[in-house]
Amino acid sequence: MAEMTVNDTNKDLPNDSPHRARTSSLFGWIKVMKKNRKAQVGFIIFVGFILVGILAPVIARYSPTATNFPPLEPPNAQHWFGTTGLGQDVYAQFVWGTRSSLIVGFGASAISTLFAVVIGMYPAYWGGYLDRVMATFTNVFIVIPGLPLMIVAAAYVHDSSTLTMMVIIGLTGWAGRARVLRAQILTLRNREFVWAARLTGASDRRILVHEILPNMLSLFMASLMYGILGAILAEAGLEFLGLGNLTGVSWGSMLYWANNGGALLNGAWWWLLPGGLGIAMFGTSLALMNFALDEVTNPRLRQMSTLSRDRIVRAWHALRGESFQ
Amino acid sequence: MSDDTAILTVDHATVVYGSEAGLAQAVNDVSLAVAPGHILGVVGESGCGKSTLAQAIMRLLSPNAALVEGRIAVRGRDMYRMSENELRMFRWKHVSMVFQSALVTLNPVIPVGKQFQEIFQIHEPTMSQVQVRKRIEELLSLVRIHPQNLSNYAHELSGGMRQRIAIAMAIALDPVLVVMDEPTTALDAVVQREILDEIRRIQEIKRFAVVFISHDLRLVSYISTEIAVMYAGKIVEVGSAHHFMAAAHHHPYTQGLLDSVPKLSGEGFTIRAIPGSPPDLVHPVRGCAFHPRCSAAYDACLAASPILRSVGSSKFACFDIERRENEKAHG
Repeated sequence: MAEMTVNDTNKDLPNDSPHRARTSSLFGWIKVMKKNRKAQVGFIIFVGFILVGILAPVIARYSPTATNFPPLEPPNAQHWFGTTGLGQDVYAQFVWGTRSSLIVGFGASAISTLFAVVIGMYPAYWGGYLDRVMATFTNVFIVIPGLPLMIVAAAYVHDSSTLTMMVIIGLTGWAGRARVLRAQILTLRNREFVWAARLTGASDRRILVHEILPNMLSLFMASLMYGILGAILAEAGLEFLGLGNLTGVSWGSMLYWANNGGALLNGAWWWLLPGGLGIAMFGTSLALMNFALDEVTNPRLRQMSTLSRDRIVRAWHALRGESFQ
Repeated sequence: MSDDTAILTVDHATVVYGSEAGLAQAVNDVSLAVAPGHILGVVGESGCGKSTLAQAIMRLLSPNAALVEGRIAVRGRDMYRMSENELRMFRWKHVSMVFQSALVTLNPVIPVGKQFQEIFQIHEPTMSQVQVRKRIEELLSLVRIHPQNLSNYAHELSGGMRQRIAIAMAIALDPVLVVMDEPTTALDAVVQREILDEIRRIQEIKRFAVVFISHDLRLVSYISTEIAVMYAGKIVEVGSAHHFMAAAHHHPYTQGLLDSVPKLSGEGFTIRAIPGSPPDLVHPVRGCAFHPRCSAAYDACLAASPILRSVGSSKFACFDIERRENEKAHG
């Protein structure tokens, strides 16, 4: 930290060493993540979904809205996931649904993260009047039940374009995350190392970016992943209730139509499953990456999960060449 | 000091830590016994395994450590053969502990008096409130703390007062053994001395046995009846404290410890640091663990690890001392 402040005050020196340190530590993270089994599995599923979303036009084979196939056909060589009661190809719907669900998920999460950071993190660091106003604002938003608010908003705007969905979900989903981030900032801003940085003349911006943020990066990433998952679930919920864009195709609207078309009554499990499984698998991939991130940023956790007492005793006896019952 | 009467028996105990680098032997084949009313001081540098030994005695090892060999018994009862429930009732009643920092072991949001009461609520549920109150006041007067401090929170007390309270809590149930892991390290020199005197005074009244862990050899020699010096997880020298400072022989490591602190009396004393760096417990060297840093090392020290042997009034794990003793015996 001493070198950092030298760079900070001495304008002759190139101010790149903290930046280099940060990127190298990020590289370090990625290195450790690559070795973590949970991260590997989570990342592969995650990238798989992203690829499906991007390549939807290439791999869908049919239009998701074309109704010119025999209805309620179980999975076969022509229709890999079978067909719906309206004669649509479920596979094509799943592929296109992945794309639109992910777009809404990422977009809404970006909006709610922006709000959570601006309203939760920044005022918390500076404290004072603005912080109190923003904290009250956040608390009011936490108390408002999210789903009814979304339903009212979605019904009110009468516009179910992707962008509208993103904005509605983003604006209703930030409050809880803002409070978590705020609480973390409040505990970090009075730590000794922050005071030490302040004493050496570091600016607020530098303290926030270089001292505080690295300490809450794992929380921030967890919040981001939770935000994406929450947005996808919210979108599916709205669509399932019929409040989304029902002419479009998403995991939620697939569930809506499967439910409306009596998929279960007709025994058409292939109609119902892909939408639900898509949500569950994508959520799992985010959760796995999140667990891995936790282990990477918390060395103690990593050790505990890999080194149980039994394993130590076994390793010891193996080392001593004794058989162990 | 036979094993039947000993309060604490540690018998060929080996503790290893699991890490990503491999297994680290923090305590390596340690045997010792503490008789009733005796104070055993355990000295060594950071990482020599003295705190791990204390934790092993209390069966308080961290989840990535295990007692892989040997037996540790308090009052003849094997600490590692008790069920969780038996252990819960045994610990503190028969063997208790004083930690380095009372600020960490005292709950910051509960007044100290309330934490005192909890001990009796758990272990002596039949005692009435009045009896408990009376008992706590007795204990506090023993460590010279005014009862009005019971309503204080830990942060409102000074470091010395906190440590006195920690000691009072440790002896609350009249245990036969108290393990003290660097109880004075977080205190300044004057308060350190006060606490040591306090421990000695109370110990003379209550006659409990103590295992006193410290990195400060002279502190330990001030309070102990026996001194054990640890290096790389092994006891390299153990003997009565009475003869210790004036002993003819010392293990080269102990000698290094003695030479590395200045004496206030006496002139022309040069402080010498022990050369080299602390041992690697994951990849131990062949032979005596101290030989890379030892000026007296010869070929025998590189070949095998010495075991504790009695020479004079003490026991040493050192080939050089054995050799010199043999030469003396044979002319």
